[in-house]
Amino acid sequence: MNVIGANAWQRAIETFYYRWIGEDTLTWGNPSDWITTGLLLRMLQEPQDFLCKNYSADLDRIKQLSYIDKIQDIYTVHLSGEVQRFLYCNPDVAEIILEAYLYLENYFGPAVEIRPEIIRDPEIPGHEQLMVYIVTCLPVDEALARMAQFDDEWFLDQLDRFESDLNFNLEIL
Amino acid sequence: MSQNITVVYKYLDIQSVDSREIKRMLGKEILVSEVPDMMVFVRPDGPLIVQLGNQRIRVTLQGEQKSVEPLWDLATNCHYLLPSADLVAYGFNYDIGIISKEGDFIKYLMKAFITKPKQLVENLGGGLNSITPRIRYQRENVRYDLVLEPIDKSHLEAHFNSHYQYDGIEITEGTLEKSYKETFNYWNEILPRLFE
Repeated sequence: MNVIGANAWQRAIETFYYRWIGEDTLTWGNPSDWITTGLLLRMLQEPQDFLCKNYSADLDRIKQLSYIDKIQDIYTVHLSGEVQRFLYCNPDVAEIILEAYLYLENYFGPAVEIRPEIIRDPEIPGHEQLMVYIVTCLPVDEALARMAQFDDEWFLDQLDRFESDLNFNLEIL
Repeated sequence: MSQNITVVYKYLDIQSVDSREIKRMLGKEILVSEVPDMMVFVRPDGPLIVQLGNQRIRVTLQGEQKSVEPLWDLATNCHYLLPSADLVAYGFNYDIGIISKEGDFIKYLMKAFITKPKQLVENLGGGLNSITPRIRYQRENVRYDLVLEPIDKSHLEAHFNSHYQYDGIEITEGTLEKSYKETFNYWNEILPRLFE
Protein backbone atom coordinates (compact mmCIF):
# COMPACT_ATOMS: atom_id res chain seq x y z
CA MET A 1 0.00 0.00 0.00
CA ASN A 2 1.43 3.36 -0.99
CA VAL A 3 -1.25 5.77 0.01
CA ILE A 4 -4.57 6.24 1.73
CA GLY A 5 -7.17 8.48 0.17
CA ALA A 6 -9.06 9.87 3.12
CA ASN A 7 -12.33 11.76 3.09
CA ALA A 8 -11.63 13.91 6.09
CA TRP A 9 -14.60 16.25 5.93
CA GLN A 10 -18.05 16.21 4.45
CA ARG A 11 -16.94 17.67 1.14
CA ALA A 12 -15.70 15.24 -1.50
CA ILE A 13 -11.93 15.55 -1.76
CA GLU A 14 -9.78 14.23 -4.58
CA THR A 15 -7.65 11.27 -3.52
CA PHE A 16 -4.15 12.04 -2.47
CA TYR A 17 -2.44 9.66 -4.83
CA TYR A 18 -1.79 12.17 -7.57
CA ARG A 19 -0.36 14.67 -5.15
CA TRP A 20 1.83 12.33 -3.11
CA ILE A 21 3.84 11.10 -6.05
CA GLY A 22 5.11 12.89 -9.10
CA GLU A 23 6.30 16.44 -9.50
CA ASP A 24 3.12 18.38 -8.93
CA THR A 25 2.89 21.30 -6.51
CA LEU A 26 -0.91 21.36 -6.45
CA THR A 27 -2.57 21.08 -3.08
CA TRP A 28 -6.29 20.97 -2.81
CA GLY A 29 -7.94 20.44 0.52
CA ASN A 30 -6.86 20.84 4.11
CA PRO A 31 -3.14 20.30 4.71
CA SER A 32 -3.64 19.39 8.34
CA ASP A 33 -5.84 16.53 7.18
CA TRP A 34 -2.93 15.35 5.07
CA ILE A 35 -0.65 15.44 8.07
CA THR A 36 -3.06 13.22 9.96
CA THR A 37 -3.33 10.91 6.98
CA GLY A 38 0.44 10.69 6.64
CA LEU A 39 0.87 9.72 10.27
CA LEU A 40 -1.98 7.21 10.07
CA LEU A 41 -0.40 5.68 6.99
CA ARG A 42 2.86 5.30 8.83
CA MET A 43 1.10 3.69 11.78
CA LEU A 44 -0.47 1.11 9.50
CA GLN A 45 2.73 0.33 7.65
CA GLU A 46 5.02 0.02 10.66
CA PRO A 47 2.95 -0.32 13.83
CA GLN A 48 5.98 -1.45 15.84
CA ASP A 49 7.40 2.10 15.62
CA PHE A 50 4.26 3.39 17.28
CA LEU A 51 4.20 0.88 20.08
CA CYS A 52 7.38 2.41 21.46
CA LYS A 53 6.66 6.06 20.79
CA ASN A 54 3.77 8.23 21.71
CA TYR A 55 2.74 10.19 18.65
CA SER A 56 -0.85 10.45 19.77
CA ALA A 57 -0.29 13.62 21.82
CA ASP A 58 1.22 15.47 18.86
CA LEU A 59 -1.46 14.06 16.60
CA ASP A 60 -4.19 15.31 18.94
CA ARG A 61 -2.66 18.77 19.02
CA ILE A 62 -2.47 18.93 15.27
CA LYS A 63 -6.09 17.80 15.01
CA GLN A 64 -7.09 20.55 17.45
CA LEU A 65 -5.58 23.08 15.07
CA SER A 66 -7.49 21.55 12.19
CA TYR A 67 -10.74 22.00 14.17
CA ILE A 68 -10.03 25.73 14.32
CA ASP A 69 -9.39 25.77 10.56
CA LYS A 70 -12.64 23.97 9.90
CA ILE A 71 -14.69 26.34 12.06
CA GLN A 72 -13.23 29.31 10.20
CA ASP A 73 -13.87 27.56 6.92
CA ILE A 74 -17.42 26.30 7.42
CA TYR A 75 -18.72 29.49 9.06
CA THR A 76 -16.50 31.75 6.93
CA VAL A 77 -15.43 33.61 10.03
CA HIS A 78 -12.07 34.81 11.26
CA LEU A 79 -11.55 33.78 14.87
CA SER A 80 -9.64 36.17 17.09
CA GLY A 81 -6.43 35.03 18.74
CA GLU A 82 -8.06 34.60 22.14
CA VAL A 83 -10.97 32.60 20.71
CA GLN A 84 -8.49 30.37 18.89
CA ARG A 85 -6.55 29.90 22.11
CA PHE A 86 -9.74 28.97 23.96
CA LEU A 87 -10.72 26.43 21.29
CA TYR A 88 -7.19 25.03 21.16
CA CYS A 89 -7.33 24.41 24.92
CA ASN A 90 -10.92 23.11 24.75
CA PRO A 91 -11.26 20.83 21.71
CA ASP A 92 -14.54 19.47 23.09
CA VAL A 93 -16.03 22.94 22.58
CA ALA A 94 -14.60 23.15 19.04
CA GLU A 95 -16.30 19.85 18.17
CA ILE A 96 -19.66 21.13 19.43
CA ILE A 97 -19.38 24.32 17.36
CA LEU A 98 -18.56 22.28 14.26
CA GLU A 99 -21.51 19.96 14.79
CA ALA A 100 -23.80 22.91 15.49
CA TYR A 101 -23.42 24.19 11.94
CA LEU A 102 -26.04 21.89 10.43
CA TYR A 103 -28.56 22.74 13.15
CA LEU A 104 -27.91 26.46 12.99
CA GLU A 105 -28.27 26.38 9.23
CA ASN A 106 -31.55 24.52 9.64
CA TYR A 107 -32.97 27.09 12.05
CA PHE A 108 -31.36 30.32 10.83
CA GLY A 109 -30.88 29.74 7.13
CA PRO A 110 -27.94 28.99 4.82
CA ALA A 111 -24.63 30.81 5.27
CA VAL A 112 -25.47 31.35 8.93
CA GLU A 113 -23.12 33.87 10.53
CA ILE A 114 -21.61 33.57 13.97
CA ARG A 115 -19.52 35.88 16.08
CA PRO A 116 -17.65 34.03 18.84
CA GLU A 117 -16.42 36.11 21.76
CA ILE A 118 -14.67 35.41 25.04
CA ILE A 119 -16.68 36.68 28.01
CA ARG A 120 -15.03 37.15 31.40
CA ASP A 121 -16.71 37.53 34.76
CA PRO A 122 -14.79 40.18 36.75
CA GLU A 123 -15.99 38.60 39.98
CA ILE A 124 -14.49 35.22 39.17
CA PRO A 125 -10.76 35.62 38.38
CA GLY A 126 -9.59 33.43 35.53
CA HIS A 127 -13.09 32.45 34.47
CA GLU A 128 -13.79 32.52 30.73
CA GLN A 129 -16.84 31.64 28.71
CA LEU A 130 -17.07 31.35 24.94
CA MET A 131 -20.23 33.05 23.77
CA VAL A 132 -21.18 32.29 20.18
CA TYR A 133 -23.46 35.01 18.89
CA ILE A 134 -25.71 33.94 16.02
CA VAL A 135 -26.00 36.96 13.76
CA THR A 136 -29.48 37.27 12.26
CA CYS A 137 -31.83 39.77 10.67
CA LEU A 138 -34.96 37.90 11.75
CA PRO A 139 -37.60 39.71 13.76
CA VAL A 140 -36.96 39.42 17.49
CA ASP A 141 -39.83 37.07 18.29
CA GLU A 142 -38.99 34.79 15.38
CA ALA A 143 -35.30 34.72 16.27
CA LEU A 144 -36.04 33.90 19.90
CA ALA A 145 -38.41 31.11 18.89
CA ARG A 146 -35.76 29.56 16.65
CA MET A 147 -33.15 29.91 19.37
CA ALA A 148 -35.44 28.05 21.73
CA GLN A 149 -35.89 25.32 19.12
CA PHE A 150 -32.11 25.03 18.68
CA ASP A 151 -31.68 24.71 22.44
CA ASP A 152 -34.53 22.26 23.00
CA GLU A 153 -33.93 20.07 20.00
CA TRP A 154 -30.13 19.85 20.11
CA PHE A 155 -27.88 22.08 22.21
CA LEU A 156 -29.22 21.25 25.66
CA ASP A 157 -28.60 17.54 24.94
CA GLN A 158 -24.92 18.31 24.37
CA LEU A 159 -24.20 19.91 27.76
CA ASP A 160 -22.68 16.74 29.17
CA ARG A 161 -20.12 16.60 26.35
CA PHE A 162 -18.03 19.60 27.31
CA GLU A 163 -16.55 20.78 30.58
CA SER A 164 -15.84 24.40 29.87
CA ASP A 165 -18.25 27.21 29.39
CA LEU A 166 -19.93 27.56 26.05
CA ASN A 167 -23.16 29.20 25.16
CA PHE A 168 -25.04 30.43 22.12
CA ASN A 169 -26.91 33.71 21.96
CA LEU A 170 -28.45 36.00 19.41
CA GLU A 171 -27.14 39.14 17.79
CA ILE A 172 -30.06 40.72 15.99
CA LEU A 173 -29.17 43.25 13.32
CA MET B 1 -7.77 32.11 3.18
CA SER B 2 -5.12 29.40 3.26
CA GLN B 3 -1.91 29.50 1.25
CA ASN B 4 1.22 27.46 0.85
CA ILE B 5 4.50 27.34 -1.00
CA THR B 6 5.54 23.87 -2.19
CA VAL B 7 9.03 22.98 -3.39
CA VAL B 8 9.54 19.65 -5.16
CA TYR B 9 12.82 17.75 -5.43
CA LYS B 10 13.93 14.74 -7.42
CA TYR B 11 14.74 13.07 -4.15
CA LEU B 12 14.50 14.35 -0.59
CA ASP B 13 16.54 12.65 2.10
CA ILE B 14 14.73 13.54 5.32
CA GLN B 15 17.57 12.13 7.40
CA SER B 16 19.94 14.77 6.04
CA VAL B 17 17.75 17.62 7.32
CA ASP B 18 18.71 19.06 10.67
CA SER B 19 15.35 19.52 12.37
CA ARG B 20 16.97 21.79 14.96
CA GLU B 21 17.56 24.36 12.23
CA ILE B 22 13.89 24.38 11.32
CA LYS B 23 12.88 24.63 14.99
CA ARG B 24 15.26 27.55 15.36
CA MET B 25 13.72 29.25 12.34
CA LEU B 26 10.19 28.87 13.64
CA GLY B 27 10.93 29.94 17.18
CA LYS B 28 9.49 28.73 20.44
CA GLU B 29 6.26 26.81 21.14
CA ILE B 30 6.16 24.66 18.08
CA LEU B 31 4.78 21.16 17.85
CA VAL B 32 6.94 18.61 16.09
CA SER B 33 6.17 15.21 14.65
CA GLU B 34 9.07 13.26 13.20
CA VAL B 35 8.80 9.86 11.58
CA PRO B 36 11.44 8.29 9.32
CA ASP B 37 10.06 9.73 6.08
CA MET B 38 8.11 12.78 7.20
CA MET B 39 8.69 15.78 9.44
CA VAL B 40 5.94 18.16 10.46
CA PHE B 41 6.44 21.38 12.41
CA VAL B 42 3.40 23.30 13.57
CA ARG B 43 3.46 26.75 15.07
CA PRO B 44 0.01 27.55 16.53
CA ASP B 45 0.53 31.27 15.93
CA GLY B 46 -0.75 31.47 12.35
CA PRO B 47 -1.09 28.57 12.39
CA LEU B 48 2.00 27.87 10.38
CA ILE B 49 2.85 24.36 9.18
CA VAL B 50 6.15 23.19 7.69
CA GLN B 51 6.09 19.69 6.20
CA LEU B 52 8.98 17.73 4.75
CA GLY B 53 8.30 14.48 2.99
CA ASN B 54 7.37 12.83 -0.30
CA GLN B 55 10.00 14.80 -2.22
CA ARG B 56 8.55 18.07 -0.96
CA ILE B 57 8.94 20.94 1.38
CA ARG B 58 5.64 22.66 2.04
CA VAL B 59 5.17 25.81 4.09
CA THR B 60 1.51 26.48 4.82
CA LEU B 61 -0.19 29.42 6.46
CA GLN B 62 -3.81 29.00 7.45
CA GLY B 63 -5.40 32.42 7.54
CA GLU B 64 -4.09 35.86 6.73
CA GLN B 65 -0.42 36.66 6.87
CA LYS B 66 -0.16 39.11 9.74
CA SER B 67 2.29 38.39 12.50
CA VAL B 68 4.32 35.66 10.87
CA GLU B 69 7.33 36.27 8.68
CA PRO B 70 6.80 36.02 4.89
CA LEU B 71 6.21 32.50 3.66
CA TRP B 72 8.72 32.97 0.85
CA ASP B 73 11.53 33.63 3.35
CA LEU B 74 10.69 30.50 5.35
CA ALA B 75 10.46 28.37 2.23
CA THR B 76 13.76 29.77 0.88
CA ASN B 77 15.55 29.13 4.18
CA CYS B 78 14.20 25.56 4.30
CA HIS B 79 15.45 25.07 0.74
CA TYR B 80 18.92 26.28 1.79
CA LEU B 81 19.06 23.39 4.30
CA LEU B 82 19.25 21.05 1.31
CA PRO B 83 22.22 22.31 -0.70
CA SER B 84 22.67 19.09 -2.64
CA ALA B 85 19.00 18.30 -3.35
CA ASP B 86 17.98 18.35 -7.01
CA LEU B 87 15.26 20.99 -7.39
CA VAL B 88 12.47 20.04 -9.79
CA ALA B 89 9.74 22.68 -9.32
CA TYR B 90 8.13 25.11 -6.95
CA GLY B 91 4.55 26.31 -6.74
CA PHE B 92 2.05 28.41 -4.83
CA ASN B 93 -1.40 27.41 -3.65
CA TYR B 94 -4.23 29.59 -2.39
CA ASP B 95 -7.59 28.56 -1.00
CA ILE B 96 -10.21 31.26 -0.91
CA GLY B 97 -13.79 31.02 0.33
CA ILE B 98 -16.42 33.09 -1.44
CA ILE B 99 -19.94 33.74 -0.23
CA SER B 100 -22.89 34.82 -2.30
CA LYS B 101 -26.02 35.90 -0.48
CA GLU B 102 -28.08 36.21 -3.65
CA GLY B 103 -26.59 34.04 -6.37
CA ASP B 104 -26.46 30.27 -6.65
CA PHE B 105 -22.96 28.94 -7.30
CA ILE B 106 -24.14 25.45 -8.12
CA LYS B 107 -26.51 26.64 -10.82
CA TYR B 108 -23.97 29.15 -12.13
CA LEU B 109 -21.24 26.53 -12.57
CA MET B 110 -23.58 24.00 -14.14
CA LYS B 111 -24.76 26.58 -16.65
CA ALA B 112 -21.22 27.74 -17.42
CA PHE B 113 -19.63 24.30 -17.83
CA ILE B 114 -22.32 21.83 -18.88
CA THR B 115 -23.46 22.55 -22.39
CA LYS B 116 -26.00 19.72 -22.70
CA PRO B 117 -27.43 19.08 -19.23
CA LYS B 118 -30.43 17.07 -20.38
CA GLN B 119 -28.25 14.78 -22.45
CA LEU B 120 -25.88 14.31 -19.54
CA VAL B 121 -28.71 13.48 -17.16
CA GLU B 122 -30.03 10.95 -19.64
CA ASN B 123 -26.60 9.38 -20.13
CA LEU B 124 -25.87 9.19 -16.40
CA GLY B 125 -29.34 7.99 -15.56
CA GLY B 126 -29.55 10.37 -12.61
CA GLY B 127 -29.99 14.01 -11.65
CA LEU B 128 -27.06 16.41 -11.37
CA ASN B 129 -26.27 17.73 -7.90
CA SER B 130 -23.21 19.85 -8.53
CA ILE B 131 -20.08 20.25 -10.62
CA THR B 132 -16.53 21.06 -9.53
CA PRO B 133 -14.67 22.28 -12.58
CA ARG B 134 -10.91 22.09 -12.64
CA ILE B 135 -9.14 24.11 -15.30
CA ARG B 136 -5.48 23.68 -16.07
CA TYR B 137 -3.77 26.14 -18.41
CA GLN B 138 -0.39 27.48 -19.39
CA ARG B 139 0.58 31.13 -19.33
CA GLU B 140 4.15 31.96 -20.36
CA ASN B 141 6.31 29.50 -18.43
CA VAL B 142 3.85 28.92 -15.59
CA ARG B 143 1.24 26.19 -15.41
CA TYR B 144 -1.97 27.14 -13.60
CA ASP B 145 -4.62 24.99 -11.97
CA LEU B 146 -7.93 26.50 -11.00
CA VAL B 147 -10.55 24.51 -9.08
CA LEU B 148 -13.99 25.94 -8.33
CA GLU B 149 -15.72 23.84 -5.71
CA PRO B 150 -19.25 24.78 -4.64
CA ILE B 151 -19.86 23.80 -1.03
CA ASP B 152 -23.52 24.75 -1.25
CA LYS B 153 -25.37 27.30 -3.30
CA SER B 154 -24.05 30.23 -1.30
CA HIS B 155 -20.49 29.03 -0.55
CA LEU B 156 -17.75 28.43 -3.04
CA GLU B 157 -14.14 27.48 -2.50
CA ALA B 158 -11.67 28.52 -5.14
CA HIS B 159 -8.29 26.86 -5.22
CA PHE B 160 -5.47 28.33 -7.29
CA ASN B 161 -2.17 26.69 -8.02
CA SER B 162 0.69 28.15 -10.02
CA HIS B 163 3.44 25.69 -10.89
CA TYR B 164 6.96 26.71 -11.97
CA GLN B 165 9.01 24.00 -13.64
CA TYR B 166 11.63 24.55 -16.34
CA ASP B 167 15.18 23.55 -17.21
CA GLY B 168 17.73 25.19 -14.97
CA ILE B 169 15.21 26.12 -12.29
CA GLU B 170 16.79 27.35 -9.07
CA ILE B 171 15.83 29.20 -5.91
CA THR B 172 18.05 32.08 -4.90
CA GLU B 173 17.52 35.19 -2.80
CA GLY B 174 14.28 36.87 -3.91
CA THR B 175 13.17 34.15 -6.36
CA LEU B 176 10.18 32.96 -4.38
CA GLU B 177 9.20 36.46 -3.27
CA LYS B 178 9.11 37.71 -6.85
CA SER B 179 7.15 34.73 -8.15
CA TYR B 180 4.77 34.79 -5.17
CA LYS B 181 3.89 38.45 -5.68
CA GLU B 182 3.45 38.03 -9.42
CA THR B 183 1.13 35.08 -8.90
CA PHE B 184 -0.85 36.73 -6.10
CA ASN B 185 -1.40 39.89 -8.14
CA TYR B 186 -2.47 37.85 -11.14
CA TRP B 187 -5.04 35.85 -9.15
CA ASN B 188 -6.39 39.02 -7.54
CA GLU B 189 -6.85 40.45 -10.99
CA ILE B 190 -8.72 37.50 -12.52
CA LEU B 191 -10.82 36.41 -9.53
CA PRO B 192 -13.50 39.10 -9.98
CA ARG B 193 -13.63 38.34 -13.71
CA LEU B 194 -14.41 34.66 -13.17
CA PHE B 195 -18.03 35.36 -12.27
CA GLU B 196 -18.78 38.08 -14.80
